[in-house]
Amino acid sequence: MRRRFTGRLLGLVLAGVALLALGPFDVGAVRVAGVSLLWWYGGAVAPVAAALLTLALFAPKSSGGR
Amino acid sequence: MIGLRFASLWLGPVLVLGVAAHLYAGAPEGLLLVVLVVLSPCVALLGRRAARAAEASLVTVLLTLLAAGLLLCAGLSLIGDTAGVLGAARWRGIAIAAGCAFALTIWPPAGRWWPWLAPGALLVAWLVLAAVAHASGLGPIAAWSRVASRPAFSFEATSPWVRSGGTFPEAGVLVFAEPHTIRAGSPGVFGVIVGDGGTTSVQEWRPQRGGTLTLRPGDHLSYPAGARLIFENGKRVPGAPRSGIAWADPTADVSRAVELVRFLGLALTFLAGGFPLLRPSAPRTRVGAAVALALALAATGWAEGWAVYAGWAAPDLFLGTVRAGALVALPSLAVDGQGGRRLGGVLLVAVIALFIAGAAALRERIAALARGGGLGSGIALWTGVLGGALVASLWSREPWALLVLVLGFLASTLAPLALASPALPVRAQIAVCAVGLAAFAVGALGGGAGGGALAATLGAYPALLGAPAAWGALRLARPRPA
Repeated sequence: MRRRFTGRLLGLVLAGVALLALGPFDVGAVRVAGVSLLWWYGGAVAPVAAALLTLALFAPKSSGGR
Repeated sequence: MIGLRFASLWLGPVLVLGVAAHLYAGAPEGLLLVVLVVLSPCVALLGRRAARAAEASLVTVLLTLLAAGLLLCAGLSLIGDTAGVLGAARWRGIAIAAGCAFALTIWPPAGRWWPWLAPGALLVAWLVLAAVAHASGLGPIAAWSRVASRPAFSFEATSPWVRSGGTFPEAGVLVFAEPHTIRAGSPGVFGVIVGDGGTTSVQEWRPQRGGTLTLRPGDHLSYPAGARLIFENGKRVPGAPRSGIAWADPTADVSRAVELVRFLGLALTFLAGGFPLLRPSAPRTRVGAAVALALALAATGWAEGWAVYAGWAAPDLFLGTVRAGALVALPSLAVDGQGGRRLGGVLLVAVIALFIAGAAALRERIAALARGGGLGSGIALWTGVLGGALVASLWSREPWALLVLVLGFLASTLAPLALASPALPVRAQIAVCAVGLAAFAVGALGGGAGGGALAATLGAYPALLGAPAAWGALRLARPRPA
């Protein structure tokens, strides 16, 4: 259940890039603080969000190395 | 340490420099790649652990060995390219990297410290980037804004292509967007495709040294490998995006539907292809996962910064086709004097260290496979794989294409098996891999031969056919509960 939920969230993070790059009205080209929204999202927000989501929902295994 | 080993397996030089090259070239899929480089390890960390295979299949061992060999070949090929860019012989860079990798991977004490190679290499790469940023006098956001507001990417007076000319290591085609007079730096045979009011004609140009030719907008110039040309100061670099806006907000040269299929192909190739590669090495603790993901973020951050500063300081690198290996020339173009050349050399060392770390991680995987299959310590297997990759890399010139091929191949064969639960019997494993591989080959060969943008996309990402076919075969082959 938890794995499926995480998978959907990561899928949404990925879909955001496609939406900004290929979506209507060139939303990705909007400049925020001098940089395009696509670069902010694809270059900073999405990778960091994916990493944080993974760590938050990561279920450590009971055995194994460090 | 497991987090470092896991990251070493993924963050090879072909991936890191390849992402930087896509971003620098202003490719629409560049930022998707940034996300996929982080997302693939996320999926491997969260993925379900497959039930241990009851019987180790020789086919899966062979497929893994083949994938490892191709990954090593791609890395060595990239290092050969970078050595060539820095003025050394291509074979010399390949031989040094392969020799270091072999020595380190068969020397038992190195097993304790090689996992630190990847973070060390990334740290060095970041320091070189900081030096380039310092020399430019711009912060990353200001540099991005400057690149995005460039009216054109043009040759500058300090460019070596303008002062004394440069040599193209491989044959290719240049497309000119404005009138441009070029000068031959050496004799050669060139083809000029002239577009004149809807009709095209092909002419041959056989200049002596110093011979000139004026090309008009829309003209194509095909050049042979080793051709030396001198370009005009202030003219647009052939092959560069039209302007900074075209670089910052790239639009695809195909319809949005085809571009969406291209995005899907890339995502499927990286996420499904990375899974069987990464999942067996995934750390089991949150600390290990955090270390691995921090390194992936560091690698993508570096690639973005490198692409932006290259766009600002080195428009020359757009010339012809953007090659990942050529990006190591950035310090020599951005930092004046000997310092720039030295920084380029330091970066090459970091690239070789990343390759060695990846090779050591693959060596561990092969050793584990050899033990599981009763094939001994695996040194003979490893020597064969690395030796084969070394020989192949002397001819291979497309490291990125090779990486995409390997990941697509893994997505079409081993990815379904990595998730199969309960473990499949050997015959079923062979059937799944055979179906996936056949569909993958159909996509690769048929897509390449067929016309049209969609066929070209299938040819570029044959996992679009191979992976679903393999998953379908897996569903059919899965044992039914009694």
